[in-house]
Amino acid sequence: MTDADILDLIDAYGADTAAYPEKRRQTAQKRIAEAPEVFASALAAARRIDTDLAALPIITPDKSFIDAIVETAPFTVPAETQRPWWKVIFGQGARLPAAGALASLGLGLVLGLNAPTGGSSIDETTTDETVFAATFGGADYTYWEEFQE
Amino acid sequence: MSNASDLDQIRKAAAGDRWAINGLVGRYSPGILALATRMLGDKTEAEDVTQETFIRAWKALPDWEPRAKFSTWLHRVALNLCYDRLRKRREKTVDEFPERVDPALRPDEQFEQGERLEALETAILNLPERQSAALILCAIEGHSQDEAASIMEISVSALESLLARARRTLRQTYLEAVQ
Repeated sequence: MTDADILDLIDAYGADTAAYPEKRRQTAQKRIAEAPEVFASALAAARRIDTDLAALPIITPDKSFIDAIVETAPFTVPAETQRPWWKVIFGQGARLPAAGALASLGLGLVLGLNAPTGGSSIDETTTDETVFAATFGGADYTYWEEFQE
Repeated sequence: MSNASDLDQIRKAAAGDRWAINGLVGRYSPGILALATRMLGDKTEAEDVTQETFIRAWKALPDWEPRAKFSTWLHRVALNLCYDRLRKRREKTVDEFPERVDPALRPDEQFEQGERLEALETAILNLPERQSAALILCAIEGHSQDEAASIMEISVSALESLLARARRTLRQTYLEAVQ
């Protein structure tokens, strides 16, 4: 790499050698360190331009402009129905509560089907009288007699 | 190639997901607007170019194939729209349209910081359009050499040549004027 090549690099990329293409960076850095006087003037001018370029104001769009661009997009669904409430609440994890609900339902069914049935006192031998007694009080047959009438 | 996050957002945006569209606009509109503003030197025109760029993006999204980075593609569209507008300006007479070039660099006057930067903006606008595009993309907007070359559809060595010519011109015009 000649000194003219390095001056070309300074012209193209400025004074910051870190911005030079990787393949030529190290050679350029070494040569600049060896003979700083050769490149001093070019580097000084480049540094001034670099500094001023970096100081240029950042251009940012305001929110109303961004909103206006968004409005140009062809939405397939109206905005207010885009995100269902469960997605707003659970985000991407909406599948978890749904799976939880299904698991609860399944567990309920299993427990219900396997529950012992002996707890019920009503069977084929149960008489109307027994049921009545269990409901209104076994000791008092007055009600039973009234009911039969 | 587009990254995974881009691709996911592009797919959702193409399906009409407002949040994905918001995300794409929020992420890329500042760079597009800055490029157009510095290329054209006119805020209203730059906003028109930015809007048109995204309108073209919405049309392209359903058939989007991730061969290139989405941001590179967007910047390329914006840059070509800028070139179109600059060409149309040249075709019109000076009386009909304001000049892109403002020759008002004043070597005999002292430049305050604000004036210096204004003079620099003007000097960049005065550059040939491909030189100013190269300088804006690399030196101001911080794109890598590969990215900038890809946006401009040129080789990295051609980009380097444009950058060198742009900076030499700035050294001769801008620096001499403000010193």
